[in-house]
Amino acid sequence: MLRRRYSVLPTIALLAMILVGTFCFAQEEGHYGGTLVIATAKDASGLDPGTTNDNASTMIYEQIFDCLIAFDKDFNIIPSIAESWDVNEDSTIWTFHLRSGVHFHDGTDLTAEDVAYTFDRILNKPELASQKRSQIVMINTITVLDALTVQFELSFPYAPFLGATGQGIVSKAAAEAAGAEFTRNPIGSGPFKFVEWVPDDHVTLVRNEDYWMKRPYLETVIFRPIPENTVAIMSLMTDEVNVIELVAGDMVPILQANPDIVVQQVEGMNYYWIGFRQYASPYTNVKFRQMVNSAIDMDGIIANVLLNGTGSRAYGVVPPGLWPRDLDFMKANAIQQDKELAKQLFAELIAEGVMTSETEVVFHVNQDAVRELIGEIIVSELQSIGVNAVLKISEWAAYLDAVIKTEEPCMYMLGTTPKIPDPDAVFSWLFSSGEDGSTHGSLILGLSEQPEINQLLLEARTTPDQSQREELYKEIQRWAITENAYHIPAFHLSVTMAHSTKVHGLVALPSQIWMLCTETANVWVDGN
Amino acid sequence: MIKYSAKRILYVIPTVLLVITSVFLLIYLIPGNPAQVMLGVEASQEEIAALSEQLGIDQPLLVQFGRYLARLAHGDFGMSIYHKMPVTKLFMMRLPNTLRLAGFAVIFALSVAIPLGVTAAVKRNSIWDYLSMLIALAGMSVPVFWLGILFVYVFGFQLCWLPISGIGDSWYTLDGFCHTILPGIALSAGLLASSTRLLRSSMLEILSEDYIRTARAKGIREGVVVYRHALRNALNPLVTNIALQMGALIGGAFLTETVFAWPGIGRLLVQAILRRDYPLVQGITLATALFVILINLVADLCYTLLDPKVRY
Repeated sequence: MLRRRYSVLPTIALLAMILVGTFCFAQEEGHYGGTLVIATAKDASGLDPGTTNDNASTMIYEQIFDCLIAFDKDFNIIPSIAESWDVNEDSTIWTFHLRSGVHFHDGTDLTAEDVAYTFDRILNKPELASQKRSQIVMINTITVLDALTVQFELSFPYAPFLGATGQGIVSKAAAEAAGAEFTRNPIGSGPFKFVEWVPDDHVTLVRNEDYWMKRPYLETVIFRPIPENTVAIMSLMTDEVNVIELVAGDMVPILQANPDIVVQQVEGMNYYWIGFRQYASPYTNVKFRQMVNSAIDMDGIIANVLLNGTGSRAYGVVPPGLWPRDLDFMKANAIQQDKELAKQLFAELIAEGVMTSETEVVFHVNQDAVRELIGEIIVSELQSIGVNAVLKISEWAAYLDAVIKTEEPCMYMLGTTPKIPDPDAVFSWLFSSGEDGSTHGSLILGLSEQPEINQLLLEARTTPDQSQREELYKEIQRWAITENAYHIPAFHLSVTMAHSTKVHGLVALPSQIWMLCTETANVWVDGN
Repeated sequence: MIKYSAKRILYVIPTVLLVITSVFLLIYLIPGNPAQVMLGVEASQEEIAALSEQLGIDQPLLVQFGRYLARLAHGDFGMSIYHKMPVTKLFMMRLPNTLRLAGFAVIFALSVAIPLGVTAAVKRNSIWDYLSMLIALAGMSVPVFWLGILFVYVFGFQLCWLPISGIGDSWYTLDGFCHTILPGIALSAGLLASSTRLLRSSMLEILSEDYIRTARAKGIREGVVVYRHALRNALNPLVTNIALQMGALIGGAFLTETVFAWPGIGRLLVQAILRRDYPLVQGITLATALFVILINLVADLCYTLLDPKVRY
């Protein structure tokens, strides 16, 4: 009898758990309707996915347009408009099979013609001045095989090609009819339709009721540029906006203390470094670069400047979320601050005639609170060991002139965010000077031409074997950072987003992609 | 009067030419390439060269200046490099927003400055006088952007009386009006302060004139003496001040518009400078300069209406 009673209790408990679980699950179910207001730091520069590439524009047009492929939360490639794809043996011919029944917002069908047009205009319309061209420059020909099949032939095998096909598919008819105005009247096939753009005030999108994937919960999404971070935060706290895309480090604790606000923070997929424009001595000398590296306390800088988790130390060039970070090796071999060693290296450089104590070492940074502060710390660290270091601060356009256009030897600070989640997007730009269709960033940034490295980079981008690619990138990273100290890896900026507790299902991602309605997400808001 | 107006309008021509030339040279002499800014740091030199050619910024400075003047002669302010829209269209889109802000600021400043300045003069060394001096001192010395953030914090965030940022609905709606109050008051601070001080000193001077004593001796009511006889004569320097302050008001609008996320001409100009959007910078600066010149001209002509003794 006793045994029977005991056997009933777990069953009741289990039933209770199922009921509670079901209730909780039901609570987590979204509901249709409502408006989400997102405060952005900047206004969009254009809503044509074929031309612009800045964050402010991308976060908006990603909601309006679909791509051939999509990325899940872990950056795995998943089908989107392309249901499936085939590739030939040497990875030069890619055939995409499109999903049927996908419509643009104007009601017309999305076909292979539109896909071909999307890529063709990026490549062959110079008047577009597309910032995407370098991502797909390896495409040689685009062939429409039938209404739902499109084929790309590449001029060389390109391992990250699938990721590079993540370009918003535009309606050929709408884009041709709108011409230059398409950027202000975009028509895509994505989860939200464009309604209006009042420059510097707001962009309004509404739900696409016929979205092929699923019905978005949100009725309306409004993007509002608020340049002052303090004002954006107060707008969030007074419910004028529901989300702010970026939070300054000193404001994080204030928001975290507010019970009506959720702060989400993840390591960002970016890489910031201190570089050397090696046009003249002493910048060309590896001992000089090691001396600078030894003089700097990078951990201290990050702890005191990038407050409250808004940044983490970089040990190599590979951003969080990408592979191969090779963190064990890079951490173990990172140059730590050692003022005595720095002084000794400085003395040796003087003795060898590489530089004198009067040699001016110029460090350029652009106008930005964080970078200016880091610049001041680094320059004072160098001055403390006797180097005649000078900090030059300029606004962005003038800064680009100083560190890219001229051949002035100097130190500089820059950051990069890979446009596709593949190491090639970082490595080729930073270190390639070869004729392989990359943008030759290494030459722009003042590195000398390195034929062996060009060869390694070419091999890494063309081989389809993932493990071989990993090894090649590790080798290049160790060569650049550990052996030659071409860069001083500085930090990875975190993605710090804050939103009202009324907002559900929104996840901060390292790539700063906004998943409002995707395969794995469908954001909704309470109370309206 | 007509002769004077014609002479003043003729003076505008060399001023405008000077503005056009200096703005053109200034923007080209500062470092920075719009093609590089547009395409970003990762663009190749070939891509930058192609865009520079397309935008015509690879031509020698004199060629570019000649083309610019030729376009201007046809009333064409050019295309914005960044927005890829005609400068005139962009300007006209934002102008109503800035006019709404500046208009509110002028009306608010004068509605407070005139009674306060008059009261301070009439009741010299009273609490009103000290209050007017305090307001004037604060208004002149507090930076507009700081005042803006303070207003946002107190009235928008702490008290939740008014919206914090953005332009809201149309200007004639309650929502639009509420959105204008905080940025408008912040922007009016400088004009309010200078107008109060100026009116006070001007009124003090006029109230000691013989004709005021005569008016009082004739038994005319004090209110009539002050507002009809004294104030009208004290308004001339105030009109000059408003005209002179228009430049500062527009300069203040650049900051106020950034703090309050107000989509006006000021914010457009700041962004255009940062992006090296040459045609847009030139267009806005030229239009603003013309506006300030025009306001000064109107102010000069207004003197005859306010003071019959003034003849041109």
